[in-house]
Amino acid sequence: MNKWMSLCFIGMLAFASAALAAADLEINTPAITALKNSMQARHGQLTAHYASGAVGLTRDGNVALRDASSVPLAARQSVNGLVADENRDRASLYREIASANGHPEWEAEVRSTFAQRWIDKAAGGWWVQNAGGAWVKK
Amino acid sequence: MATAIFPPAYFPLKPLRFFSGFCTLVFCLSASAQELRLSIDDMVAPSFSLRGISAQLTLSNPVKLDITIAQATLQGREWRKLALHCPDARIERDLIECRRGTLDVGEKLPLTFQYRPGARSLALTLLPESTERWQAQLLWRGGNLAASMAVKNGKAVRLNPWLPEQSVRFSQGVFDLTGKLEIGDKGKLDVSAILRNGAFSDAAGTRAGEKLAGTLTLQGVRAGAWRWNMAAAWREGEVFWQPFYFAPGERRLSAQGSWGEAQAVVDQAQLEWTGIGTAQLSGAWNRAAGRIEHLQVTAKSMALDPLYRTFVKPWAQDGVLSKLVLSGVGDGAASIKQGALDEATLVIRQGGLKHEEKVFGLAGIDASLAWQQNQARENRIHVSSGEVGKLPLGAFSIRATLAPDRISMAPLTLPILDGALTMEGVEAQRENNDWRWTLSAALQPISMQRLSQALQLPAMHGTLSAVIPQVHYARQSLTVGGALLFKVFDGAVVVKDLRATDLLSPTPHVYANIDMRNLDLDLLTRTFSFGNMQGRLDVSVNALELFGWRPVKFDAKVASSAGDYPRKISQRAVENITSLGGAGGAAALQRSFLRFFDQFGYERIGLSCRLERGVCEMAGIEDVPQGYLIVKGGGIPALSVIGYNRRVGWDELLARIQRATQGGKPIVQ
Repeated sequence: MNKWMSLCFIGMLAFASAALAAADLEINTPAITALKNSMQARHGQLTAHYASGAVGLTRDGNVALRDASSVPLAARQSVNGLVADENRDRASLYREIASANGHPEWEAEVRSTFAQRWIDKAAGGWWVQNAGGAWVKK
Repeated sequence: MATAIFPPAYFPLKPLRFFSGFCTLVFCLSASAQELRLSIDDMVAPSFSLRGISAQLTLSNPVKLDITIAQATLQGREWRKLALHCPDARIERDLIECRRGTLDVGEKLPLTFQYRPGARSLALTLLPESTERWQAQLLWRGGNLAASMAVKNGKAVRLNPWLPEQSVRFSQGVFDLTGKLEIGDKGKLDVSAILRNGAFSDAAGTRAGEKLAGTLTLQGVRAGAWRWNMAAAWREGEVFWQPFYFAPGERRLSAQGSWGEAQAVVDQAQLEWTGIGTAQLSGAWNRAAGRIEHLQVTAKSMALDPLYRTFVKPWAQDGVLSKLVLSGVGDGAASIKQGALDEATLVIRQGGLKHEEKVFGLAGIDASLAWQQNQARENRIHVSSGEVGKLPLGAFSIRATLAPDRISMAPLTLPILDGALTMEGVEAQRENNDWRWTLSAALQPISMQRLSQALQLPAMHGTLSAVIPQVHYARQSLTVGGALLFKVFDGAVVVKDLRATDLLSPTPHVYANIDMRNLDLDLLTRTFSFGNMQGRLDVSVNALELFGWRPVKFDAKVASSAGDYPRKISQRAVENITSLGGAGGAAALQRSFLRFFDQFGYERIGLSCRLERGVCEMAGIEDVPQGYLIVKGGGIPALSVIGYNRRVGWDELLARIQRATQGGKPIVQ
């Protein structure tokens, strides 16, 4: 299961990377590798929360706690922590990819491209934000 | 037939200040029934208002009473289209009774009431469900109101309209309540309630409780101000109140105090928290200013680990504070004055502290900690033993002066194996809610043999000592002023321009320039099973950048030190060096007559790696037609080593170094 989730994560990351034509989104530096590893390790923990609808993918390339009520009370703060950690890594990833391309000013475009691809590749049943910011179930 | 007009209902509530609007009374006579209709545009009082009141009394048999109210507000809550239907009413000189009535508040609730104008009493019973009963009795006498209320199996969701707008809402739970209230010259209150299987949440789920059960009793007497005492017990259920989570377990609160116009005072309160301990509280709330006037909290023998996990850990999202395991007990006290913390003390006895991932640990902690506003306080901490990673620490004591915006520590000596780390000038200054730390330190010589043994590293020789001139830390960023000086492998290591950012995050950034001079190659290669080499080496690592403790960028050079010393290199070391620089050399060596020699002489060694974007650009002493020269031969027998690959992936290079230093055979391609 974990292996499948890891493959799914890598697939999503690769797919997301195949976007922004001008920038090499597949560029790999040790910093990007470290971030990907960190996100991949966390993805296994987040998958159940994506599936339950507790956590959704936002239109700005982040994840967000959208329905805490589906998370047991004892786990809510740890889910908050997962979401905060994931968003910090995502912000670093977008920044590092832009920097590795030699264009730190591309960070917003990198984020926007990743945001759309994360949403496109989200599994059925996951919740994502549409262009208007409303939550919709895929 | 004339219609009798019943006596005007006595409306007892004094706060009704005006009665405005248009009031009409209409008598309708018919053959079968007589009707009395009353319309009132509005009734307004400070705490409630009724608009669009319409009452109709049909004097049939049985008598029918219908009252509708277009809009009612009470204490800020609003209801629309309220209706009371009594198809079986009784109207007598001293009795208005509604039997089998229905109150329509969106939900139709069966209701009965009896109002006795002479006795000025009202008895009301609501039966929303077969097992649910709400009863109230109101009696006005001499301008005083006496009320009693009893609820049996009341649904907690019915309380929701009375809760503040942005507050939580009950989704489940039933409660029993009995209460008595007297309002007048002298007031009296006596309430007792039991909640079963309660659940609540706010819209976002950031404040929620489930399977809650508990009791509450509250008594009060008014003599000028209200004097009250209460007891509450939370017996079952769990609560998440972001960021805190309170697991199932019993907690009890008992308190007594007073409630006046200006202040709400808690004379004495006791909070018993199963698993943590008991706290005593007293204080006063300034109602006008909306702040705590004063509050004193004391707690004896608190269990530190559950206290930390319940109240401290949830605040710490990441970093060291979020991953501790504590032990021991502590006595604490805190005082708040005029809304601000005035004094806090904590005495720890036989405490322990461990990082969840065994990064560090301290045992046998006895501490007396104190902080006071506008006054410096002495703090003492004694630690019997500890460890940092696999490195044991001896006993040490900390003496620190804690002022509101400043911490200064007496010189601290931290015993490490046969040496010690001494820290001086440890100061912290608070600026704009951030603490800026400074210190200087020195590492008194530690035997490398003991150190390597403790760290489970290959046995090393010599001593490790260091001078750390000035360290600054603020906002997760650390800067080392001057240079760190270590003495290892009979040489000197100087770390300059060391700084780190995001230190408490999982992916800190670290930057430094490192210079190593005159390292003894014999000691070095023996330590790392690289194959013996003799000589001296200088290593420089410039513009080093680590991300998440992994190197992402540097410009490193290894070169023979200047000077006169024996220069020998073993055949195995040659093979290992060759494998770092690429393929070919080692195989060639094995094919040649040189394989009969164990050692070779050399003149110079030189290798560089410029790491960027995961690729190491390699070079040697000088370029040669096939590649670059790593070892330039000299003496008899002499051997030169040439590297062929100029670009090597960092991960591949690491794997090669690991193979070479673990004593295995290099893989030559």
